Amino acid sequence: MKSIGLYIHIPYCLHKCGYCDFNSHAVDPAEMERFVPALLSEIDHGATRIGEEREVATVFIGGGTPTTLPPQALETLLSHLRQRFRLAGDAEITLETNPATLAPGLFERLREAGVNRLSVGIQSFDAGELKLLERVHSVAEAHETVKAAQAAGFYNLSMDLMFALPGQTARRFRKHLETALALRPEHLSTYNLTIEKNTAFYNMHRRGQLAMAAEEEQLAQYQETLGVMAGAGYEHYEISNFCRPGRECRHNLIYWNNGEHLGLGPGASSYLGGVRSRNCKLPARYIREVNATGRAIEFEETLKPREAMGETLMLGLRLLKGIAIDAFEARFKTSFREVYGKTLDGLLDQNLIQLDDNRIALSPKGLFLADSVILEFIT
Amino acid sequence: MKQNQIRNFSIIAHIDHGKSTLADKLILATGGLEKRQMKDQVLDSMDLERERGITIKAQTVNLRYKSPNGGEYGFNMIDTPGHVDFTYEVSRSLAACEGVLLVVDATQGIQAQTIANLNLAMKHNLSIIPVINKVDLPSANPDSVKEQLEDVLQVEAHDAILASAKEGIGIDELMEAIVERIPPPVGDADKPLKCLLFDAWYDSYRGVIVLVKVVEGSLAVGDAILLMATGRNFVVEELGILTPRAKQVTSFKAGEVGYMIANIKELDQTKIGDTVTHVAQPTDAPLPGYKDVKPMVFSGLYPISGDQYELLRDALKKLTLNDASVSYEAETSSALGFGFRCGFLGLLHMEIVRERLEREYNVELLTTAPTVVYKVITTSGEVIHIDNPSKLKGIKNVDRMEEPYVRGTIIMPEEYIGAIMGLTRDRRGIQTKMEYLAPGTVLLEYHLPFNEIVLDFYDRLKSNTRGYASFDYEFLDFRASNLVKLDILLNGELVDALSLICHKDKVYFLGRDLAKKLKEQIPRQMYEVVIQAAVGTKVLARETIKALRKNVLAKCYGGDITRKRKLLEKQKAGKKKMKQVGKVEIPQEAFLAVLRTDGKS
Ligand SMILES: Nc1nc2c(ncn2[C@@H]2O[C@H](COP(=O)(O)OP(=O)(O)OP(=O)(O)O)[C@@H](O)[C@H]2O)c(=O)[nH]1
Ligand code: SF4
Ligand SMILES: [Mg+2]
Repeated sequence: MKSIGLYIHIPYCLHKCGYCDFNSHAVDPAEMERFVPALLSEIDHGATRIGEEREVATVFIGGGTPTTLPPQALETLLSHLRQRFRLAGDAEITLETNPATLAPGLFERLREAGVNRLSVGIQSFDAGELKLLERVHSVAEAHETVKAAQAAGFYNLSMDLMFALPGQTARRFRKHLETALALRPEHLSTYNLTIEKNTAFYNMHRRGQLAMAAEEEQLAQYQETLGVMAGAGYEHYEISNFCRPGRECRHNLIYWNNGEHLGLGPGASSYLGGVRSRNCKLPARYIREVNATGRAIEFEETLKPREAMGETLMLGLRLLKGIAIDAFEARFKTSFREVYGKTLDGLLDQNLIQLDDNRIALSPKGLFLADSVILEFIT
Repeated sequence: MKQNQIRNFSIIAHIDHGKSTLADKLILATGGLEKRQMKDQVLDSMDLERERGITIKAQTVNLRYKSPNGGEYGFNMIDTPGHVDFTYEVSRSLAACEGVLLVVDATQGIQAQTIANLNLAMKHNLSIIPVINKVDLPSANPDSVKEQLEDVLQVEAHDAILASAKEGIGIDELMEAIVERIPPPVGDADKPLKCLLFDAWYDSYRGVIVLVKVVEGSLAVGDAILLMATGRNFVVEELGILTPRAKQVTSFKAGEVGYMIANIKELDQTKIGDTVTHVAQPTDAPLPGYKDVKPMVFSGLYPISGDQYELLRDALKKLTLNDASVSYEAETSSALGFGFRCGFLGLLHMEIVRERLEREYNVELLTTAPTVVYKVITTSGEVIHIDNPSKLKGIKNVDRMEEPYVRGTIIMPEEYIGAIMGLTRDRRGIQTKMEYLAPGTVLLEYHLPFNEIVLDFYDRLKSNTRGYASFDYEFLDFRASNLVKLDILLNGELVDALSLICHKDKVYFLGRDLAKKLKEQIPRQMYEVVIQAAVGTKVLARETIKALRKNVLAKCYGGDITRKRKLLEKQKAGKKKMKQVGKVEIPQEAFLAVLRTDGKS
């Protein structure tokens, strides 16, 4: 039986963070009431898209902030998923949350509904930084959220932190890492702040009101992170992700291994049978289209072999253990060397990749230059 | 048509003073085209002309004018370009005319090319009808323009035509003036054929099409003709006029202008300015002919990817079929590989040719910085022309070097005199004239090394005068000069395509500035890049581009992998446009960095 990852997008947030270019929109109770039934019908349609022979190994309910939906709606969603899809017995079911939506009894109900992994968007343990990022929660709420989740029985918990914020130093970030580690998460993601188009930060940056950290500073903080996390016994398994042994995010591993996934909800992407597709982003339009046709796909492309290979490398090289060459060759029915021989030689020459019998991975130097390395494999 | 009914004239002016728009109105008023067939500047037919709103190639049209006085006339009108690079188009057109319409923008008055083009017309002894155009504009000042015409150019201006080509004002009056003030041609139709070949182009269906003016005698379909300069014989297949649509006729008599098709296969079988005569009864007094147009600036054109070399060669071959003023010759650069050294009339011409090659022939090009032609005189007296700085290498026994000078004319409001004197001093100019054209407007004349103009002179002139200066130049002579070759080394390796020749007094500043500009334009790479500017073994400047240390998008992109891939593909496409020299990737713009130096930093 083939397995697949399932992603559900909840496109609402209490407030749009300054750096955010995700598909997130202001909460709108009236619209959200129409959104949930639409999502349920898209789930019905999605189930027919993947057919009987695929088993759902992971579910990831992300956003936006899924917990902006009432707990009741999340319960309905989860039970609907169980009805429509064949979920593996040991399925990883992750839900993203934000300390600003903490409510008494919430986590107990989520556990009861089958969620077994929680990803908490903390970003920073400093009030000033939270304000700069336009996060709408306090440091105290962050702590409370993690404690409440653990008290409710979540023993697979992930946190997100951001680094290279304007004015931040490696020392300050180290303290955030230590604070996070003291809360004993099973998993931690650290994201370097980047400035994306169509965000408040982008405009501020353009007007000279927001200074990005210098490259050296970014590098120093990243290196600091690697040191602290290794010292605390976490495994660095992906460029931005660390975990206690065996606690990788299985859902994200599907992406990085360029595996099949079905995405439902506004702006969600799917990869099924060599075809990538994406839903329309605007919730109102999504609701309209699902109600009219059962689906909301606005973009679809069938990948050419060379594109699919490029994507496999683009994603797989993000994993520290890299890509298994035999699996690549079996998948694309071609010799890896034949396709990339010259590129490999160039990169080996510059000491940017490591190559052993069956794996290609970034070298320690290549890790910091991953984008440039990956670019070499793109045509 | 009888000779006394014919009027042959060109429209000449400074750039943008409205020649082509005036031509539109004359075509419309005489019924050459109907309103629904018209568009603005209808004679500017090339894509590039339309996009840039300028005329590049002169166009001839034959119009039929019915005068209210009852007479009927044939107008041969030639719309000419105003830009200095295409002055040659003007001079060859004038040879086919008895008069000109000298168009002057009523808001700008006399500008540099007004004077240059008027001088050409005077050299040809042509009748001049001043047309003061754009009188519809609120800032128009026709009286002051009249005064300038009379005081400065000694052109009779009391009966200048006040016109608005845009609004159609003054057009009827202008047509009458053409009849009355431009003399008809005077050649004897009974003498042996003497015919001026004043334009030629290549048409893929018909072969070479030439424009001729019969000066004496007459020419008919079926005639055996001789092109006197090239010594080739042909038989006339078709004659006709452009109205602007082609209309066939059977013969031309003295004074008439039109096109001729004579089974001429290649453009180089014709020579602009040549005399066409009958094989059987040739004229014994051929026309004086024109001076050859010589390319003034040279640059290396290289395909970005080596496999486009053949494509580029074919493209150049085809393009020169229609533009004989471009020269090309294969060359090799150790940095860029195989390419061509091409010669152009000027910088605009270079830009246009480059754009045409890229667009019409789909070649992706890398252009090296333009250079003028220098002369090296060896101790044995041999003269070597240097159109590529690399050619200096290996010449032994150099006695001296010479560089080309031009006579430059600048017209501008007097308040900028200080700024312009500063600029021309920096550019090693020698002032030879200063004259008030009108209160507040001055004309300055300079002798300037041509290489100083090629490096961004015009833009600086414009920015120093808030756009108010106009500039014209013509080649003067070669002068001995203390010149050196400035080299650029990347990681210790000389990049021949970045070398340039400059005056010894300026090389230090130019070297420093160029190294800095290159540092800005070469993106950081995964290793350090050291840029050095040197003369011989002496390093004048050094800049370092630090190695990229971190380039990793830590962002989690959920499932939107397509977006990420597309982003990378776009980056990659940009990277592919760079030229790899040794290990270093250099973007195209870097090869033109010298154009953005000011040599003053
Ligand atoms: N207001 C006004 N604008 C005019 C008039 N005549 C021309 N123009 C404008 O001036 C600009 C230049 O006109 P062209 O006819 O292309 O000028 P040109 O002399 O042929 O230019 P080149 O061929 O590049 O030397 C255009 O934008 C015309 O619309 C006029 O009488 N009045
Ligand atoms: S909580 Fe997350 S999805 Fe919502 S606005 Fe902030 S960064 Fe964007
Ligand atoms: Mg024009």
